[in-house]
Amino acid sequence: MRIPLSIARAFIAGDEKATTEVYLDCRKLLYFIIRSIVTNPEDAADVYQDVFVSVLKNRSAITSPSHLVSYLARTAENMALNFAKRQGALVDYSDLMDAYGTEEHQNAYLQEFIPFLSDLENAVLVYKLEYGFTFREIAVLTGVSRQTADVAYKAAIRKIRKNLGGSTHVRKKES
Amino acid sequence: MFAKKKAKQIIEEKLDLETPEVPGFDVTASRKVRSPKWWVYAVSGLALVGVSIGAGFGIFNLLNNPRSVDLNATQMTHPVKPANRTYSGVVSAKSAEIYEAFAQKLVPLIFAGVGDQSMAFSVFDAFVAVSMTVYCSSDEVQSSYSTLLGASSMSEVTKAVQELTLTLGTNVSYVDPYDHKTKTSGGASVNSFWLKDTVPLAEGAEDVLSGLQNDYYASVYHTAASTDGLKGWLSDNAPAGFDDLPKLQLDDPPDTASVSAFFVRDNFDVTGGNSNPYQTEYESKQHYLDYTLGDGTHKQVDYIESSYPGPVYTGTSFTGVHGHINKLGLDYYLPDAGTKPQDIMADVIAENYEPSASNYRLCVSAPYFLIRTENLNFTENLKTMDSLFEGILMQKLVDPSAAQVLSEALQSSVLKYDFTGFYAVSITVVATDTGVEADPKYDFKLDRPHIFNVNYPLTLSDGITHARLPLFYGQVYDPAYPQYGGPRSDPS
Repeated sequence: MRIPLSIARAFIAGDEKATTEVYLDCRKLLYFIIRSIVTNPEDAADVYQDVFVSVLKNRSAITSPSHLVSYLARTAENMALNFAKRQGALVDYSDLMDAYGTEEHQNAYLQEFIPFLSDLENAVLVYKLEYGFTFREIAVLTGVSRQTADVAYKAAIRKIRKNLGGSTHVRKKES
Repeated sequence: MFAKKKAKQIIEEKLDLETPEVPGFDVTASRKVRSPKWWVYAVSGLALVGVSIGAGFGIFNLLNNPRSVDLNATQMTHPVKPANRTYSGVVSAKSAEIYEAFAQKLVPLIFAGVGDQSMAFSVFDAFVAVSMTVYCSSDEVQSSYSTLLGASSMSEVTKAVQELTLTLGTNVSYVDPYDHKTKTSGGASVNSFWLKDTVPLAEGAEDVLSGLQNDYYASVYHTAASTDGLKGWLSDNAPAGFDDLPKLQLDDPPDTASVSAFFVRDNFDVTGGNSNPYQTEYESKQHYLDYTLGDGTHKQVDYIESSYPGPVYTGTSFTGVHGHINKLGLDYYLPDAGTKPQDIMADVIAENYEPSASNYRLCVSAPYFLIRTENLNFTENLKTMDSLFEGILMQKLVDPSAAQVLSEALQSSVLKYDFTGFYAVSITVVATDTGVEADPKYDFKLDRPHIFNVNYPLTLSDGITHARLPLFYGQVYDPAYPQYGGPRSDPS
């Protein structure tokens, strides 16, 4: 996912048109990040709005326009984690492990994407297919290692193929 | 592909359906669509356009050293024109888009880490060598690579390599489509593939080797690539007039090496009995350009002055002009005072600049340059570009028991710009070696009564023997902590 540098700079400078464009480009991603951590939809909507309010308030402090998407994503992630922490829904806030659960199916929102995948597999799939993130970026957003994200993605594609048909385009494990 | 498409469709519908709007935003505003542009660059601010058109020849010099596969079956000892070649002589928009995607993903990573030094990077070489390596990889790696570059399949990437290679000049003969009399402008692209003779080949490897010959115009050698071997190969394949060749050092001969070299020359047009004004100027030694070096010191340097109409491009912290040599484009981007070239590189690559509203009479004073880049290692940049380069490669060629991993991606180049014009030679090697697969996963979940031992690991006085002196032994039947995720309390 990429925002042109000129738009990012204009956004940071407070340009109204650029603000709308950044909002249009990022709103689904930010909401997804928040909902994957904050499971209650009303709470998630509140956090979602707070994220934009916070970003608009502090945008002049953004020093690297080329990393605007990363900044927005981390802001959404941190605010969602802080909210979950206040609600007592998380035990370990540092590595997001609780957000995706030790159990495979905890997050009803993630389960609505592709029901036969685990929460983590659904999350990785969205980040990879919809936003084109690298596994390094996905690892930051989900708190798992790159290898784990890679494995989750390949497992997800295999399961989709098994259930929906089609070729996998991921490497099969050598026996 | 259906699986991914179907999943993407479900995801998009779900995101569309679920994402609420934030009050206060005008969500009906139209979206800006950026159209892809065709550009090629070999050095900061250097835009290459089509150079030469060559005939499509391939050489298959497979040395007669068969091991686990009958390589004689595909051995050819003389250059042959690949069969079934339907080349229209143009580069398609899709091929340009794929190449552009490769450049945009890799080049910013490379220039972000080079520091304050003159250097150049040939995108074309790298694209061909990396694509050759992926060509030998599994379907899954090929699919990931294709997706990364916006191609629908590896065939589309291969087609892009073919079209660009043929357009920029292929094979050992120096082809000049512009000026057959003076032969002052043109290029040549030559490729080779080196395979260590001890590497066990996968079933069907001969088809992959034939594909490298036919689809990538590569000479294939069934021997390990070495520094001397590559030096000899480059020298043997250099067209006439290309005497100053880059040096590339391979520490250890790798199991496989995809090698691509690119030669290009674009001399100033001095045909028709005209003398070269730049040469006259150089020989008179009357004018110099006051140039400030990277360390802030000054020197006077030879330069070329040209005048032509055109816009001035303005970006954040820099200005730029587009220009040309003879057949090649040459664009310059000048950082504002206090800004370094590498600080503006990302914006230049992404074309984040705007032209002036009207044209100027541009009077461009630009120094001669000679840039030698030796053994630029972009292995980590490739891995950063996409995690597929961290994984197992070459599965179509090498038996899975000797799983190959990317070991080195190196490039060396020589670029000169002076009163004669532009001259460049570059060579890229993407090498793989037998790698160690990640250890297989073994879940060891202590979810029932178990034993533990707390010990003190140390090395004994002989410096060799290690011991783990037991300090505690114990057995756990009830960990005595509250249920994970439940309300926390002090375990004491």
